[in-house]
Amino acid sequence: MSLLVTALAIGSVYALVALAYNVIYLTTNMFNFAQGGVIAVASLIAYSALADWGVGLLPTLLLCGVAGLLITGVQYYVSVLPVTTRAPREGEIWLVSTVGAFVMIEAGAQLIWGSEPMGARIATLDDLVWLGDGSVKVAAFVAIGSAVFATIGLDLWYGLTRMGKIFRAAAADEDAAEVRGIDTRRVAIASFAIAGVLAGIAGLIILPLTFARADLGSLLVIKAFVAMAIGGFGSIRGALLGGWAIGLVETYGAQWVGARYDAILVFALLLVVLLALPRGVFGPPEGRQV
Amino acid sequence: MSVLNERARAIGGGWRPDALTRTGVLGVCFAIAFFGPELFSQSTVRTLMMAAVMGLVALGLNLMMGYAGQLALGHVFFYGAAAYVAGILAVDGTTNLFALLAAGVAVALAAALLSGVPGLRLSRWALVITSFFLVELMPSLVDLWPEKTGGLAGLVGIPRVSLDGPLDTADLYRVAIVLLFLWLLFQRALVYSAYGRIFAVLRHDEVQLQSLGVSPYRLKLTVYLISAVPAALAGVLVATLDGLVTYEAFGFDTVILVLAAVILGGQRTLYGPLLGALILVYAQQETLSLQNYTMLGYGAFLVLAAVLLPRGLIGTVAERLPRWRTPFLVAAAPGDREAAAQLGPEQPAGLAVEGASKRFGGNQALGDVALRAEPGRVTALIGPNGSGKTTMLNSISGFVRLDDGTVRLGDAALQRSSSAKIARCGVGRTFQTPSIPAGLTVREAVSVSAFAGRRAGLVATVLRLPRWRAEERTIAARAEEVLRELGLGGVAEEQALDLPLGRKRLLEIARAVVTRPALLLLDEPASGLSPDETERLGHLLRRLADEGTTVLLVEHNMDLVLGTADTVFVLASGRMIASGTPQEVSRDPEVLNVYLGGAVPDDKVVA
Repeated sequence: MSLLVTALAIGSVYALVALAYNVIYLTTNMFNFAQGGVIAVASLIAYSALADWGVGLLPTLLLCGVAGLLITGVQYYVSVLPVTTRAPREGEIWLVSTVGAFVMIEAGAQLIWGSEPMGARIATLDDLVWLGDGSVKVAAFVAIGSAVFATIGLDLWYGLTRMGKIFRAAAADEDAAEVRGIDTRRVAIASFAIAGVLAGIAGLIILPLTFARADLGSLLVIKAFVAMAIGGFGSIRGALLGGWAIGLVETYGAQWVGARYDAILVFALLLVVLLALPRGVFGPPEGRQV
Repeated sequence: MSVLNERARAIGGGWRPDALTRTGVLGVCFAIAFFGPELFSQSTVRTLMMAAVMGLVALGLNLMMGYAGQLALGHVFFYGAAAYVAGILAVDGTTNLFALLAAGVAVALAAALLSGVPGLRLSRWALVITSFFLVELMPSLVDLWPEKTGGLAGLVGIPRVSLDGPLDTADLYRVAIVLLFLWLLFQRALVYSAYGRIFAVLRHDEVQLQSLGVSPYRLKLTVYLISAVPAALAGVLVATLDGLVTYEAFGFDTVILVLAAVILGGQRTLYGPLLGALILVYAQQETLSLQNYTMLGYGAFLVLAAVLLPRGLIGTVAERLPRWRTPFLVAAAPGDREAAAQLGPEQPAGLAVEGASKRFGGNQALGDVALRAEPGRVTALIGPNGSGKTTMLNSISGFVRLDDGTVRLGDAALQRSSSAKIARCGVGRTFQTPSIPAGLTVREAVSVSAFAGRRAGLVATVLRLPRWRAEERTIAARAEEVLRELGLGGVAEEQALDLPLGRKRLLEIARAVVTRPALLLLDEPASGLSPDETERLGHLLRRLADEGTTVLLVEHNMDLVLGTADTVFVLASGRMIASGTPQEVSRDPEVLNVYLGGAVPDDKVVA
């Protein structure tokens, strides 16, 4: 039981990161690489606030959300907007500029906080819960609950509300959306804003599970991408499913096969899913081609 | 001669380097690099060696990402895997250079298959993930066999590769330079051929690629495998350079370095990635310890390069010098004209559709439709909007799978084949909306369709064998002939993307015709054409039919239909309501009713 909760908690960490990537992918068809760096900085800020400055949990949550919003906003205006307006036909140049922003954020975080992982005892979140065969942190349940809550909330919002549908229309066909009076740039800005707040909050939620470290983004980005690939790119519920699948394979793989195989097992999971379901579990259906 | 004049007019006057000059400049560069140990200091030679190694990896990435337009991040893994395999083999058994190169390339190809087969199937992003994951897996894989790989501490004590005897550093450097230039020659020959032209279509529109008879999956996988080779060569070279291989050299930082080298130098430029690698390797050697401030500057540099120089250094210069552009298609010689005299198919074949039915959700787009089109005749398919004409064309060309019914071309049953296979059976088509790939001139854009039927394979292409040259000249001559027929001869050297809509449409028709298809499907070819252009089109269709082509035309322009069609079929609400000569059909009461009155009940109107 405690192993299962641990697995789902790790999976929920990946899912939260994948959700932040997905919110941007869903409307712009871009992977904003720097998002992983934003989460790392948010968790470092959360660490400093809780451990060094003695700020309470709720103000820290607010602080992290605002920090995520601001960093992502600056990053959008510096590394995404100029590229999409100046060189829209040059393929995936945004990949280079967002990777560059990622490198900058990570290097900046290392200058401020150093490169060692930092863990602090956080009231409530670090308390242990006994589950009969072992104990897990309260933070594990918080992570699972947040991932489920964020998934359901975003899924309903994109699926049911008018604004959510507008967001998805902007991604499906930018030109057609523009013709119908949708300002796709504003949709993109709003998506980066949502993803920024999400990344900021995620930074706090995952802090007790991952510790705060400047290179956290590098460690999480690939798992988040795999979660998206398994669940289907742009699928909100797919991100949760993919994240949990990775968490389960990693945790039980380490238990049964050996810890050094966990990454290889996740890779095998990815290959099997892509061979069986090339668009991922909740990927878009095959559209009309011509 | 007129062709040359047209070209000179289109691209402006002034000196432009011919193929001989280009190769000469490349040869001089090679000689300077080759004699580097005699000319430069030891540290400069080391920088050049590492630039050659990273340049090879970047050339591979550019082939996949730039030319084929497929994002992949796995080339650093191929590089690392080849380095480890070469290192392990050198420690355990052979140090022979060719054996190590073969082993390195083999393992890189295996890794490319492992990530490419699942990664290239449908989603554009899957390959990014699988190939990126390979890079992240490197430490785990190395840790699996620590006794062979040296584990996380690294593999040390690798002996130098040998040819006659162990190579010294200067000789190893020369080997690197030779391999680099051989690969450059290979990539240049590959890119400036039918491959380079079809890459433009692959980057632009995979549906169009299928309509030209090429499977996007197979083309992408082929390019991915080819692009793994230079990365593997680089890995073997670096393994024995210092006698040391550590997994850290093949991590995310190196992925970024290679990606940045391609972007900085210029995607889709032959030498850009090499220039980018040289600059970045030099900068890295100068600021040896990658401290945090260096990383901060490096990140800022990536952002600035992407924002300010999206086409890269060489790409930006090339943009200013359009007349220096290397053509993707050879020029036709006057003697090739005879080869282009015949536009009709080698083997004429008739089209027979029986009982075709297709339902989209609640809409019966086609209901038990039969249609015949004979070789040597122009057959028109007309009907109101939404009557199922385009669905019919899509079913014949394999983009829509019929629920029921058969489609035969000559003796071949097509209804279960993929669209690419159908195109290779001799079915050429155009689409309602012209879709023209960027970066090609009109004559090059017309010739892209020759790829699927090419007889000169990869080896003949890259070695520029006479077989390859003859085929290219035939295609060039036929492209010129079709363009002349359609009145586009004067714009053959213009950028295809800059043509007005009507001429783009004619270009697509020319593209479908140059492969001499047995069956030509045209979806509203005359819309947007001037009367003069329509007349030329009618003339071409008549000529094609006379030479044995089966022409099936979907068209609203009644002048064109009545003037050129031998047989007319009329669709309404997914049913064939009439067929016959233009005169018979135009007097048919049901046809008149459908066209003039609101005879189709609302519930039968198909979207």
